[in-house]
Amino acid sequence: MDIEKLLRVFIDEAVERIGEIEDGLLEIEKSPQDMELINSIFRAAHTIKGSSGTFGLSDISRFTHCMEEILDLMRNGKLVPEKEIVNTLLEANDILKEMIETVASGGSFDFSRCEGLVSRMKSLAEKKELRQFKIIFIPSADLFRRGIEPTIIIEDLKNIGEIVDIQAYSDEVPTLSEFNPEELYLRWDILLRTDREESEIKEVFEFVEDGSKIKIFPVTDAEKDIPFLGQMLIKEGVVAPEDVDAALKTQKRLGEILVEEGKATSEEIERVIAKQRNSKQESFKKSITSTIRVDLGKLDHLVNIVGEMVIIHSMFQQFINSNGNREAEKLDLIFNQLQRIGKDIQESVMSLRMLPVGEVFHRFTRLVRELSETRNKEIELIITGEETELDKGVLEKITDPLVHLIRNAIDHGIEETEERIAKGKPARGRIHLSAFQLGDSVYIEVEDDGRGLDREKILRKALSAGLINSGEGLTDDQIFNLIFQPGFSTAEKVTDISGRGVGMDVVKKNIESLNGKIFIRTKPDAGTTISIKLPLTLAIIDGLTVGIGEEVFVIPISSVIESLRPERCNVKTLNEKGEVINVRDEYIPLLRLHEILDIPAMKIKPWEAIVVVTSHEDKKYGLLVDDLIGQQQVVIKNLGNAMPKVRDIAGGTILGDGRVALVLDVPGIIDIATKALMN
Amino acid sequence: MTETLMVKENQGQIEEKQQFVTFYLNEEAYAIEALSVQEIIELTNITKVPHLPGFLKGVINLRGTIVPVVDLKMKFGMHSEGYKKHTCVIVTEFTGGVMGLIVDAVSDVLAMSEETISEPPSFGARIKTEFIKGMGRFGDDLVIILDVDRVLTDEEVSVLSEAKEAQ
Repeated sequence: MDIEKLLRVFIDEAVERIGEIEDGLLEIEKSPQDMELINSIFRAAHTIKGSSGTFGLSDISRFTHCMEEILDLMRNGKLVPEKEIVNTLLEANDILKEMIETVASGGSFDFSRCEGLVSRMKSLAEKKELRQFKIIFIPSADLFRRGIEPTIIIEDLKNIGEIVDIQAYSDEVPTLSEFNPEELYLRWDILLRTDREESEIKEVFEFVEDGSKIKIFPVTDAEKDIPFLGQMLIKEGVVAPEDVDAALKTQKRLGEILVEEGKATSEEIERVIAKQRNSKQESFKKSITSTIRVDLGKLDHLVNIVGEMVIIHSMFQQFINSNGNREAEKLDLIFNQLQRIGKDIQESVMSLRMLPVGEVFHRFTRLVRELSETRNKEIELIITGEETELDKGVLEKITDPLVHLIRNAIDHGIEETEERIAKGKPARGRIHLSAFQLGDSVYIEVEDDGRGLDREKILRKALSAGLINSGEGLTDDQIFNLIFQPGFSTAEKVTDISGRGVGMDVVKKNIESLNGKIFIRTKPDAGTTISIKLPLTLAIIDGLTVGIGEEVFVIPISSVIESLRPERCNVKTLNEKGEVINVRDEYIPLLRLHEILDIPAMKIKPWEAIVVVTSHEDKKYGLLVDDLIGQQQVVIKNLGNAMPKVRDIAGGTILGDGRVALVLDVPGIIDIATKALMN
Repeated sequence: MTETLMVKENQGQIEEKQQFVTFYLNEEAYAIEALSVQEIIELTNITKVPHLPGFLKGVINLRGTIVPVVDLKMKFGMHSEGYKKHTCVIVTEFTGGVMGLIVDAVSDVLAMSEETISEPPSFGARIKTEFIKGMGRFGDDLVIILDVDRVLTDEEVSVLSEAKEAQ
């Protein structure tokens, strides 16, 4: 049991690390010099290697070891993260993900699959070359007193490699009167060419480390080829070596100059230098301590009990209101404070479920990179608003639709490079993925600068697919929205990227299941923007509470336009097929909720009851209910795992009086009802 | 998982006993494993859920969690005179989740040893025998020990598929 729990933790952790590796690898192409980044990738791979070994998953451990080898070479500057290497590592990372997934599902992974990859990785790792290191050695002044001869160290260095250049600095040597023969005043810069690791060089300095300053860093090819200015000047015969030394002696550090000019005190400089030194360490520490991983179950439990507390608050409120006297007034005052705190707690608990969208957005960097390669289009992905937060549940469900939208933008939106050039557009296409919050909603937009939607093509397609009978009287908006109809796909040729049958209708369905909405803005040759509007959280919605018979139902406000009691003369029956109501000269189909839900109602005549007008796929439908009860925020809960999935019902919520009310699935009800009408 | 109660007998012999919660449906005594019982609560307001078979009465609020409830008598096709004062809900946990069972009255918690539980008889009971784990004896009375998992998963599965077809 415990082992299983630990394994779960291992899998969660591994998945997270794999994500880090992927993000890191994608980033490394842009900034190959970022040592901290390479280090973090290395650490992630190293963690997986170590922990998989602990769980006896030796195959995974061995596989990660190969990745780690390459990363280690990169870390030590022996390998430059070229495209080929990054691609191989990305491929390996994908396989690693599969391995972990197999472990999670309890299956067994076929390791023979990755043999080719492993040998490729090994050959990459073996491309070891002689490298150059620059060593700055500022020995401790008491080295002689400790009986250490610095030249021996330099001799030792010769044993592990070739000293290409060595420079001794004597600028610290005082005048003879102040000279202490027991003190060491020299420091050295050494350029060493070796096939050894940085750590092996460090070992040479092992005994002098205390009190000395030793810096070892690899010199990349470019730097290696460019000699110091001083050396060049000497070589060219412009100046004599002594002149260079003298000039160098007058050179001072920035801090010293500032102190001399009275712009800063040396204490201040010291403090800032110390700060600079720490900042890197701190930035790493921050990334560790600012988050804490919590089991989602625990969090949901907390959300539940806080929700319950809010319900008890409102029960209390009702009780106080119904027992009005002087005491009650006082009680009310105190209670209001309690309620305010309760609301605060609820809000902050809900915010625990919120995650920045960046986590999902950055996965698309990879997608765009790969797809644009296979499609031979040059496309750049710009991401903004990555810090915008969304409920974890929403975020998970939004990923697939976004993949689809981005694929569409790459495949259909952005033109081939030649076409773009011919149109006078920049050769490089651009996809802008953005998120922002506006009021109670979060907007996510996928914007491309491609060819835009083709109105005529969509019309032709819709006509031939039988989605519409004629294009007459349709507004541009209505035509563009046809792409959300099932069975619509404008792709002329089916590619592996899009046009696989799952179309925009699925995207729209997914968004609507999150109580969200989707909009299109498009302009020929300027591009298309698909805008998704989502509620801040899944769990809390604004609801209209309505009564039907003895039951209370909740209709999500997001789908409600208005509610009204129709005049008797405005209710008509159409060909015995269904009823419509006339609302300001607009005929709206009337759906009797009590019939759809198969429950008794108190008011059968629409002119005595209430019609709630809702919209679905840009059409209006009237839902017949007995009464309007009110409008309130409700916490949506599921009806329990043991409950079979029931049509027409999206979930339940607990009302102020402790009773359960069901939340209606408006798009579902309309879909089923309209299908029934058509038959 | 079965909880076993270790009872020390006179000579230091150990006998394993299982605990059961017994309840009544009309005049018949039934029992379910105590370990599958989460709690027993008074019958509260039930919210009906449309499109469900009659025995699935609806959902209740169990301290902030929504729990579906089954009327066991309706499930077994027994005659019912409505809910009374002692009617209560046994909240059980089974493989499919948490479910409330509406029963006429809860009577006792019993410890029974393996030997006192016999195989289910093959009489033509109105309850399908696969729901029955065995027959227990306490004193002179007989109790029918139910297999909660079977009772709740059997028809639920078919309801689930019906609901899917309807969509």
